[in-house]
Amino acid sequence: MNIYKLQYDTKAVGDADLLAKGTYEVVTEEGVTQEVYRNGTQAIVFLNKIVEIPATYDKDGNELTPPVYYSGVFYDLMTTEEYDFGINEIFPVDCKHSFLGYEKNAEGTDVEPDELINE
Amino acid sequence: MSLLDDVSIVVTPNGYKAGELYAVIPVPSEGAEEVTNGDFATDSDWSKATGVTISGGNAIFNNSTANNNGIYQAAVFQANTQYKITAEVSNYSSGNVTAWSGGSQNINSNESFTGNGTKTWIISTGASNGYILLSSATTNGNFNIDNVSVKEYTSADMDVTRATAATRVDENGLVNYAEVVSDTELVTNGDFSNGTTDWTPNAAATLSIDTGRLKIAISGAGSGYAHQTFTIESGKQYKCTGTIDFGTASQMRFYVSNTGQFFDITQSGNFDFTFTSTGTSTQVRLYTYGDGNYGFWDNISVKEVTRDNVPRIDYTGGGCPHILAEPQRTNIVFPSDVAVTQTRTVTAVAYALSFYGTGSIVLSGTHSATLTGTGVNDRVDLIFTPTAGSLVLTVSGTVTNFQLEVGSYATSLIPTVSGTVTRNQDIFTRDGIGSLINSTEGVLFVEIAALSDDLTNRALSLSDGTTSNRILIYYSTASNQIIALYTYGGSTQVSIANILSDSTEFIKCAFKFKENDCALWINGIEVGTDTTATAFSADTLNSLALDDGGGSSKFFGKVKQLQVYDTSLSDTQLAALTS
Repeated sequence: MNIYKLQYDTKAVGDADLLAKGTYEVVTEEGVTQEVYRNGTQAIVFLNKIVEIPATYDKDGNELTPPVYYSGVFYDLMTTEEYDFGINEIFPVDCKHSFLGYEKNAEGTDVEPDELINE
Repeated sequence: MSLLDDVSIVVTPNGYKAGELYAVIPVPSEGAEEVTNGDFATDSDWSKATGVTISGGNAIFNNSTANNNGIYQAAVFQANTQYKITAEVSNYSSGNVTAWSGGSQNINSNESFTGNGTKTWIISTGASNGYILLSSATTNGNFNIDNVSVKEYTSADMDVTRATAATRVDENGLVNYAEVVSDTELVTNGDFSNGTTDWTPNAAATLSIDTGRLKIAISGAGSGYAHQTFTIESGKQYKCTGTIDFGTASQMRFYVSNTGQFFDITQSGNFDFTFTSTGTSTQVRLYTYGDGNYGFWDNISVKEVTRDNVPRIDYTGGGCPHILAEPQRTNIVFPSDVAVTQTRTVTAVAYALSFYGTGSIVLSGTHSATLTGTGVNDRVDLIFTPTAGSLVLTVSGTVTNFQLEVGSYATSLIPTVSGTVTRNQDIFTRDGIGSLINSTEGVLFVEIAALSDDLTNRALSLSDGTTSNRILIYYSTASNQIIALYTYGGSTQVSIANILSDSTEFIKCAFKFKENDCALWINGIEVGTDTTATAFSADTLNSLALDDGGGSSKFFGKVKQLQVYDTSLSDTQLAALTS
């Protein structure tokens, strides 16, 4: 099983790349549109933004300082197939998300999320 | 005459293994031999690639290259049929032994094996088929193959795909992983019936047997242990269980050298840990703490455990169990075992918050609400839609099995520790069973319940593997609606809808299909008929799946029974079946 950790500038860009690579397909049947996994895809998990520095709050839950996020949005892809995601593939050492039954950093190596982005 | 005389497939919450849910009917059977010269008695009948020779009653792979470079025969498989392939591997030193099928040699690969022994593949062929190829999926294939056999395999055992672990409620009402534990015990003398044999103390530990248990007494150090080393496989999960009595020990811990993990045992009684191996051996240590103190260990066991793709037999609600099929979900709060106050970034979609216990969780920030627990063994949930931003979850009292997931209903617990965790969707399919389905007439019967009235399509189907020709029962996008659908050549022939009082309650539902004679029965009542339907040609339908026939609209719900009849039953029979 392959687990890819992916980072894109926006969700629209990420969705388009995953669609173009055939990891999923948009199916419309009887007026209902669904995104259906294809070609060995077991799961696509959209993680949205990931917090680098957490916000702070008072005792009532009011925000004192806002969170600081890593740039872009993140996905985890589990698949039986191999893909070349180029600069969108990242290798975090302290993954914020994992798949149930897998090691937390499965397939991760030693690069922080925002260090691989080519500006 | 019994209904059992007409039933060709019966699936219930019964036997299973990782990746497979066994059907009760039919009993698996094998057909005639389909390959010629499978024992390689002569150098004939097989086409050979470079690096493969036939000699001495074997196909000999000598540094064969990958994929296409093996041995093959054409015209072995029929289309859309299930087969059992076996082959004996010997003299193995490298490579991945794989069986292929398809319209030419290496179209569809199947599971790869390493090592010697008899390898077995159960495969379903597609529309274009004939060839069988045996090769190495990687370069440098070095092994011998003998006694290749290919036989049609008749079975309705369903393939189960989830590729992650998952939990369910067991017969005792406890939440635990759906898992298959190996019969092979890796620990020797774990019950200490043979004294302290096979256990070695370190310098600070003295071992003895006390009322059938291992007593570890510590002297001259803060801790000591007994240890044992054995072989395991890298990448596999292992389950460690046992029983302890603290005696006078101040602390007791189970250590696995393979991963360097210490598992803390907090109280006397049974313990249960799992680890994922990163090497080919491990030492386990029974750490006991306190200079001058002692503790007791018993029934130490380490066995391989499989959790991915294991179907879930769920007892939620008590009574008879059901097969549980759920969508992909992510638990975004952690840790799940005992909740702590935390903040999560959320978007403006529906969320399901759930937990067990008597405590409470106060939501603030992007949503304001309070969810209060009702009991240690009771699960409470709250469905809400926050505004986008930071949601604060303030925990007080006892809150366990803590879960917050995107979705309009709570699903089974997804345990978390230090980050968010995803459980994949459950997929149930069985193709290549045209011989078990009478396409021209029959009945699809199910006893099912929805997980929620969530206004999505959730289907169970008999089909040709597409949405063009299918028999469907599905919960629809209308509230509490169930529909029986008959699609012929891509056009809807029959669509019978019924509104249920509550789709999350179990119903017995039968869809009778026959040329110009279709009917939907629910709980003993004929709720709709249609007298305009074109019969499928024989052998059109060959797949059973918990989806719409084309892989979409997966059935997420509970299944107590799934049956396929090869004749259209009488009204009396249908009334009895669904009552």
